[in-house]
Amino acid sequence: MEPRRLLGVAVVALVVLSLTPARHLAFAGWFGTLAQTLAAPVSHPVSRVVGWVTPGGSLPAAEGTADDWRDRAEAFETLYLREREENARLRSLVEDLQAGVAIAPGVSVRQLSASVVAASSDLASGLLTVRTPAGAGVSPRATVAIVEGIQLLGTVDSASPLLCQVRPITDASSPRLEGVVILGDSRDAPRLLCTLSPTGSGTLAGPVESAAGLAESEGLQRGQRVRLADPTWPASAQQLVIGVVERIDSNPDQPLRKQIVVRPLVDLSRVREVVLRIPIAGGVGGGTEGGGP
Amino acid sequence: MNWLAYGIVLWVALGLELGLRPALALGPTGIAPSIVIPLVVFVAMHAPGMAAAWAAVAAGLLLDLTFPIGLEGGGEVRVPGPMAIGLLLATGATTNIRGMLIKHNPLTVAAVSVIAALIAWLAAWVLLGVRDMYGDPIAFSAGPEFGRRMLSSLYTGLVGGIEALVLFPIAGVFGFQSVVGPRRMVPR
Repeated sequence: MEPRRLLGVAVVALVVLSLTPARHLAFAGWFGTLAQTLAAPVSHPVSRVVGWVTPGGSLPAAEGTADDWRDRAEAFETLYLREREENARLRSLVEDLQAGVAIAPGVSVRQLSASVVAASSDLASGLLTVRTPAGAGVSPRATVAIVEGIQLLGTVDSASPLLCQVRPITDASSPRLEGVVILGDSRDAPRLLCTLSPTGSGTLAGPVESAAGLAESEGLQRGQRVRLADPTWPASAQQLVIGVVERIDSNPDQPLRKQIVVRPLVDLSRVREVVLRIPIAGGVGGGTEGGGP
Repeated sequence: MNWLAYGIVLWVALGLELGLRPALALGPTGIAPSIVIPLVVFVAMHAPGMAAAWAAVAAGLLLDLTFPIGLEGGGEVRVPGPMAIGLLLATGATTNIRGMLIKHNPLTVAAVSVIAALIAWLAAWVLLGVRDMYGDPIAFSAGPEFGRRMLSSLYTGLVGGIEALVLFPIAGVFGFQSVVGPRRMVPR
């Protein structure tokens, strides 16, 4: 075709396109993006230079303007707050780990922090799935999970190289456990023995008695801590906190004895991070490791 | 005419227009110069008519595609055509008067750029105005746009004069057949 005639055709086409309704011109957007992309190697550096030369000039919200700096300041503030929160979490974790060691200083355990990745998909089950740290050596029954340094969560039911299942002590399927109620603040404070069973509502309940097996309940008050003292549990779990006395009732079967309801310090079904206390083979006090409830 | 050279210079001019236009705009008025139009004028002053026409269409089409027009209900649209037609008309006018021009003077480029920009933007203004008349939902208000385009044409002339100072030294790469550049006294 002759160039002059071709130009005429092009002109007609351009006039038609110029008057075509906007709803039929969506295809031009693709060509526009292509053209802008091709021009970007020149236009982008120029825009940057303009931004430097005319700070806060006529480029609203463009790079280098006051709005841009304000956006950056907000982004850094968000980052700072996030890091501060992370710092507080790590400090708390360190304190938890130190508290856990202090509970039983003679027992050789390795404490590893692990995340709860899922609760059980079965609503009837309260098992928690925990991500196992690589090479942790988690073994069922012998490894205990705790939260907040001193609160007993439960034992590891099963373990694989990547994940392990922890059964909380408040889970309805958990076995009965024995503990002591400490009646004072001192180390030599009198203690009462108790046998606690999960109630299924996040608490444990059971009768309380003196060390001699008598129905003594003098000094028993709400808020007193209950610690684990069960020989069927690993040594690394002994003296960990089961919870606090929430309620003191009369035992319906034995009116002369009292029954306590114990609530853990935290809601064990909602924990997101746990500390696994893994016994070290051959360590001091490892005699009862591997027993489990 | 060397189309490769023209393509490269057009690419740079378009990039500069996209990058510099907001900075060169006179505050919030929207009055801003064009960098592509003086280039088209420069080509129209020296290239063969048909080549100049195609060069204008290519430049105008790129301008149409890279400057989206807002829609009243939100969104944007790229309308291929108005500036391509406008620059084609401007090139036609330039090629018609170029025989009377002092081609080697940057002020000529500046003056012709004002006229060319007026023609191109008025043509585009008419075409977009027609769309507005039949109810196309483009965000186009003919009144303010008219004044803005008039003043932008004058501003383009100013930029065109400066641009000519860059275009004359590199005119050789375009492969124009007419002599471009400062005249030299040739001894007989």
